[in-house]
Amino acid sequence: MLSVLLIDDSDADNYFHTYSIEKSELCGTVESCTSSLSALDRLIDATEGRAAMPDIIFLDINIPSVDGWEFLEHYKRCISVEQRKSKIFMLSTSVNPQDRARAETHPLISGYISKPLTTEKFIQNAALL
Amino acid sequence: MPVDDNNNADPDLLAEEKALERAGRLHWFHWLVLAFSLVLTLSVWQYSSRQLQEKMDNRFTQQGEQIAALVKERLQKYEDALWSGVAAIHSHGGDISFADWQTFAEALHIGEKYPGINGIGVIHQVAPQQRQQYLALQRTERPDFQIHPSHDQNVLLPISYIIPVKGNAAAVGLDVAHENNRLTAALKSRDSATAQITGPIILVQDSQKKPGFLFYAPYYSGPATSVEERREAFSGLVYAPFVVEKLMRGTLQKSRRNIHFRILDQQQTLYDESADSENKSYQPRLSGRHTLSLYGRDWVLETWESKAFWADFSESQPQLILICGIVLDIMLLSLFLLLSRAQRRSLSFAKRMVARATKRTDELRDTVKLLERSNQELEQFAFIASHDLQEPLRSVSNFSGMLKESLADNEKEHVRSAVFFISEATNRMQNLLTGLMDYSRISQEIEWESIDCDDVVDGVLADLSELIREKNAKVVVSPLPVIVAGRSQLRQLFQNLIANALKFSREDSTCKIEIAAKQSSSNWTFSIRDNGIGISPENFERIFFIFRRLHRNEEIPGSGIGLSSCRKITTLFGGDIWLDSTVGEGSCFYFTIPKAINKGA
Repeated sequence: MLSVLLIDDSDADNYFHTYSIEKSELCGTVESCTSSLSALDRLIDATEGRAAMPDIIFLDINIPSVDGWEFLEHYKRCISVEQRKSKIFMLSTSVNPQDRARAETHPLISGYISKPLTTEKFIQNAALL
Repeated sequence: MPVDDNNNADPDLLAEEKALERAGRLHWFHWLVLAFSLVLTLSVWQYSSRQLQEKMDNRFTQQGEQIAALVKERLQKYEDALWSGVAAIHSHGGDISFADWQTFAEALHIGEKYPGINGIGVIHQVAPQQRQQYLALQRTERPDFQIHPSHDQNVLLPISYIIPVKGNAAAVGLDVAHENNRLTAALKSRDSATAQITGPIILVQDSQKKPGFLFYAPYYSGPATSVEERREAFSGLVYAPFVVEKLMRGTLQKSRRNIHFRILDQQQTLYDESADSENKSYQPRLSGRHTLSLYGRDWVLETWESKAFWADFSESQPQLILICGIVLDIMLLSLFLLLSRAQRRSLSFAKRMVARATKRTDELRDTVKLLERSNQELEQFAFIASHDLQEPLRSVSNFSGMLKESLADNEKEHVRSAVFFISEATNRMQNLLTGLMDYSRISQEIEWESIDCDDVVDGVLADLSELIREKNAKVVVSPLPVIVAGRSQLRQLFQNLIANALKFSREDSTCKIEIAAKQSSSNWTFSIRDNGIGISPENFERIFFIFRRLHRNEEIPGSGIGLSSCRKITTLFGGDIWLDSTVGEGSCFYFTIPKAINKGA
């Protein structure tokens, strides 16, 4: 069973995405963080064995304070290469093609998915793993 | 926007342009300078060639005179020899024997000391009736002595001796009275008791038949003060035959001179250097004439220069001056032409640059217009879109409210959550659309007027009174000035900043807000200080971007439009907005409004 971490400031989105992922019955745990910094804390806990490293991370771009791109910079700095076991997907409402292009070429990002994340979309991407 | 029109160009600029155009041509003063310098060149050239000519003439004349003097001096020397011969005869008692004469003549060392004469000799005056007696006397020592040739003069003047004998044999016994030139000079010498020379003759002993003359000095047997006494006492002559060519040896040698000459005695050439083969092709340019009165003859010395004469003069100097001057003049003219060309070129360059700049300005103006229009359209679009979107949203809001009420007791948690999120989202959407509409309305025409900021702030505080009460906030307003601005925009500015101060207050302390204004020479600086949660410095700039938020909507609701509206307003007013903040202690937002509003901005 897969474990998933959602990083998104919107409670509504997190609720809906959790619902979609759980419906796929592929996942054991779905967690959500509403800020980049709390997500980083969660991941650092995982590197120190206090929590499990998630298999998939869905990352929003537009997060207040520290946005998705800045989260990736912190991630690179805080999580060592060996510890980067999670697949990171960009999950965003951004229709800006520059964001999509940047996500597709970013070395830490495995894919770009536009919101909302439906059960079908999740199954498709989970099948790629 | 003020627009410069090229047709209304500054008259000063036009005048200057005309002046520059004029400066790009050659003017009378350029030509004057050129003409003056040309005249100067020619004058210097003339002067220097005249100087040179004068110098040459002087030198030439001087050298000619030198030659004449040398000729005269040399003849004086020979005269001395003749007179010493006369003295020798007197010392021998009025006559001298051949042997004594020979002794005397040899002592003179004619060969070395008197190179011009063939010898020195004695002529006796012999009366016709004494002829035999004379011959007998001579023949005692020289048996074959003859008087020759015969003539019909009533006096005989035979050459008795001439030393050296060698080379002069033909002259021995020659009667100088036989020929007019020789006789005339002899008689003149006798009558004047002075040394005399003959006119040009060919010496009998000269095989080359070169012109020559005889030089006489008379001696007498008694007193000789008057002509009669002289004729009475006349005994004979001491004489020397000259070949003129030989006379010119030594200091007068041709190779030592740069001046050549000929000597004429009454049209008859005594000496001539013009026929020499040397430099025959050379045509002399100077000529001189000196008259030499010498022992009864008037010699004319005609001089001309040799080619070597010119070697002492750098004749090219005036030409050099002329050429240099002309070259300088040409260079001057070229300089003028180049300068005027450069001037014309820079003027045309300036014109082209101006044209290009004008074109660039036009292009920029067009771009600005285009941007202004597109900006206006965008704002119009945002306004209309946010306005029109509100209508369907209202429906969604209304019906979600209805659903919320009727599904509040639904046993499915998902359904309850979904309805909750729908109504939350619609509320947020309404806030966003309102903010967007306000934002796009900001740049609508500003109505500039004098505004008492105290009134504006009072109004804002009244609007926010509910929130202030709720937060239990303490607001302190220092006296604020009257400024010129747009009322609705200024109100929005204060409203947003005060509302933010209230919204981002801390839970653990009483919210305190201070509003004040300070003036500098050009600006009013307003400050809104709070003791809220504060902002970290890396976010000082980004909070002014539209839709940028530092907090989750779920924690502190907001549209992300308020501060970007504030910046837009201060920019429109010609001022600025910034902040100072410490996280956990509070923030202070500042904005400036210029005292003199530039309404064109």
